Amino acid sequence: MKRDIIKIIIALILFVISLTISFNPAWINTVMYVISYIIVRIRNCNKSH
Amino acid sequence: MTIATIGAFCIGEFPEAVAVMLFYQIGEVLQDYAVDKSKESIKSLLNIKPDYANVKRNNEIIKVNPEEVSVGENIIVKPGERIPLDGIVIEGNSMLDTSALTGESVPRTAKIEDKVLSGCINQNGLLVIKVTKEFKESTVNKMLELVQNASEKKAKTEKFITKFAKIYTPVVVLVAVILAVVPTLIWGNFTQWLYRALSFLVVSCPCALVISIPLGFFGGIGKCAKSGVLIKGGNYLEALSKTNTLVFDKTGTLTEGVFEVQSVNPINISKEELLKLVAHAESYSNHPISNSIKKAYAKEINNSIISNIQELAGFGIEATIEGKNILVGNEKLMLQKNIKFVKSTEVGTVLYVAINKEYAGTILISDKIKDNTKQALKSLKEHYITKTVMLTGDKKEIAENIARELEIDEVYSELLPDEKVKKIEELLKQKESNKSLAFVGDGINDSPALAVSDIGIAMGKLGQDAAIEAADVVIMTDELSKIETAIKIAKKTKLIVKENIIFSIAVKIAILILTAFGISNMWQAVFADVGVSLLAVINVALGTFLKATKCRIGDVS
Repeated sequence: MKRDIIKIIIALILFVISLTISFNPAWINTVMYVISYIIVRIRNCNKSH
Repeated sequence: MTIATIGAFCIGEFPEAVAVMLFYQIGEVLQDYAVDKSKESIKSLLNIKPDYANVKRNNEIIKVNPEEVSVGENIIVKPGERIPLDGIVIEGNSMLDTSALTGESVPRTAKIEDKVLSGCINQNGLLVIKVTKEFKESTVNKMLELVQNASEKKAKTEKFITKFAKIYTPVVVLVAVILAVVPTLIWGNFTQWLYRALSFLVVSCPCALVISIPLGFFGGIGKCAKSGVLIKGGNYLEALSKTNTLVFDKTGTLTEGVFEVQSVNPINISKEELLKLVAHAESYSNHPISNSIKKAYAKEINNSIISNIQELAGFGIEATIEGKNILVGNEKLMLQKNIKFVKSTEVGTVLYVAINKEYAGTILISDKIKDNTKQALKSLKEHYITKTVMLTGDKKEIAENIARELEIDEVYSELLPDEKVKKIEELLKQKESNKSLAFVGDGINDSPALAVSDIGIAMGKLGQDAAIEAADVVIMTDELSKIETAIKIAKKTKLIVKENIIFSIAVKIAILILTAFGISNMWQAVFADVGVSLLAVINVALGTFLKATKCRIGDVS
């Protein structure tokens, strides 16, 4: 449970940063979204397995 | 959800894609937390599993797994240790903490010849206990099994939602595909229609229902466990919320079940001799009446003079004592055996005795209404119950006397166990179709009635295994007020589940309509799905977990 919460907090921080700050170049935002997505998606996959 | 988020990524809607998955995960974590909390409540009921038993073998004390101890072996329980197996105290005396089993905080005394149950904690003295049941059959193991199976029995609403989700999901995916393809073929602009289709897909996800409904029922079961009421499944919790008719057994449920011999009226035999013969005939029975006779006799039972004991359900007992045929029971027994007797006019339970088919007198025994019964019934009728019924095998006068005192609406007396079942079947036909009938009983003879009613509630005297097994709800103590607690929790759980269903569906329909017209975007869709799921989980948590402390013993009035 603790590990899950940490993962979600990291994903949430990345998500909020990329949502509020427009980086230049813009692909940094995209990468942050992708990393955030992967973090939570992996948790979901692990859980369903 | 996976299709929707990957789709959103493909069309460059990154924030929406991450938001859906992120908030969904937050909802899942909250759900896990709520389930863990509920499991903890149930486990607190189960914090009774003994790790070892100190068994005495060949004058040595060996620490073994309770499962390895056989019936008849002597175990030693030191102060502070948990009693690992059911048995009878043969040496020592102590105070026992039974709170893990009953929720009752006042310790009970245990002295020589007292029956003790596994799961209790020995508080002070050293006890030597003769094991009477194997671990598999012990109270602690039976309780563990009952609780572990509780979450497997799903409520009707829960089953419906699971089935609904199975059909609903492929249909929604198909509709989303149609929404993306057909309008594109007619009007073009694939990206716009794909965006709408993905929004539609996100909104339509039934997460809120699939997560919050089972969680709601599980929370309700956990909350009941915390209050000392064991519910064997969500289906029974749902049925309990609809209960408006309560049918009670009398002895041990409404009354103490602790009988006392009031008078011995012998004919052509001495009082002592009559009491001796009856006490020996009743020696193998654990019925409260038998116990009162053994208590009144107050001498040791000589097993060598007893033979051919036969319990005649609903009639009494037939046995051979010192070579004499002894019949002890009610009027029906005398009539059935064609014995001429004088009908007693005394109010109470009258035991008729015949020796060698000759009428030998009566023993008058009376019972007492439990202290909290009247208040509990009054409160139940004020809040939840419209009809109370009492079924008893006892005499009409006694039954009516008790029913009058407790203000019970209907009384049926002088019933045999199978007649109780028939009466319940009649009452089941009379009740409204959307309401439930619950039978409350405690004895082994109540097991068929417990099984046939909509909900069987056993007063968990923790020892009446058959009744506990046949029941759907087990009150861990002898307090009738716990029924009100359970109904209150069941109704609250049902209300939370209903709130979640209505709220989720209403929000989803509203956003779906807006999405179809292109008014709402993916963010609203995210709220309609994961936002609603989160709110539904929070609603369950607020209703069942955070207020759980309010429903502890005695708080519900």
